[in-house]
Amino acid sequence: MQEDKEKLIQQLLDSSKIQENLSTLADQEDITAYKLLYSGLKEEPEGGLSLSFKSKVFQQIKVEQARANDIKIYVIAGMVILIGFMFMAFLAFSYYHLLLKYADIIVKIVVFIALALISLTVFNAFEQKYLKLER
Amino acid sequence: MINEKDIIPRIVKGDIKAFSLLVDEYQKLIFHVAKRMIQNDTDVEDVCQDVFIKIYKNIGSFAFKSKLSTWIAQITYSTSIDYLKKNRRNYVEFVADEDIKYEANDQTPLDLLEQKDLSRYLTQIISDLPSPYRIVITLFHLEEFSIQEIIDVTGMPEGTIKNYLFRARKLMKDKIKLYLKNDHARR
Repeated sequence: MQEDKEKLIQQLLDSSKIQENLSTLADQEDITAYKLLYSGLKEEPEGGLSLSFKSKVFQQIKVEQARANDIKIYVIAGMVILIGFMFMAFLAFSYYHLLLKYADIIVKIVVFIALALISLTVFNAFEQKYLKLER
Repeated sequence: MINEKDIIPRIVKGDIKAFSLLVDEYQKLIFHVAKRMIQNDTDVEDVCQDVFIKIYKNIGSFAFKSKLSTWIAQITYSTSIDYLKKNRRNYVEFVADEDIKYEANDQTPLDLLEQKDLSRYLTQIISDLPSPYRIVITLFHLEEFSIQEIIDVTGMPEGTIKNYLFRARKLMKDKIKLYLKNDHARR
């Protein structure tokens, strides 16, 4: 019963047109408390975002965009390397006798490429870690 | 007031000035929702930043089926919940009537009377509410969202939202009534 009454008071306050009916429904203390509550609920929470907030957002967007561009470059580079390896495999298969003749040089080149790729990956991992720490 | 249909295609094309206008327009809404959900100022700022990044990345998928403010509030709400879950803060998904103790801190209304400030007291009692109550109250009263918009933002059923609104307001009204009584007795 009391709950229905409270619901009705809240509905009247929500509609805000027929507030004169309120005094017939509830005691003055309830009405005052509800009115204070309704006006208080419209107040904004204390504090706010820092002055540098917007610039931080834009900085973060730039980092995200750079990351997205990096990923595109890595995908393209990966595909080029894969095609290159496939081509080399094809050449190796086709000219097997020559491959045996120049095996030493080929091994050196392969090791050099592998080292370059590992260095690039390690550098990139450290860069990403550093960027995360900076955030 | 920004024109959504004009500004969104500009942001999708990478116009940072257009995005800057969007930040100005909606940072209050995002702050209010995040603040009421998370409460800690430093964490709130981080969440707001994440929300804007998500908006920037996904604005191309906004289909104009709802208001932009509803879509943004939805992102803020889900980001805040993810944050609370991740950090195991006092997040509750559903509040049953019997679960509400509403005595989150040791301060009695008399202690709070020392603040001599009803506005602060209100802030305090809002922050003591369970998080689903706080979000419903904030969206309905502060942001003036309709019940349908709150459904879109939170995914809660209509009955639950109406029940939370009623329960939260009744709880707070009872607290204010007690506060006023004590205030009167003190004088």
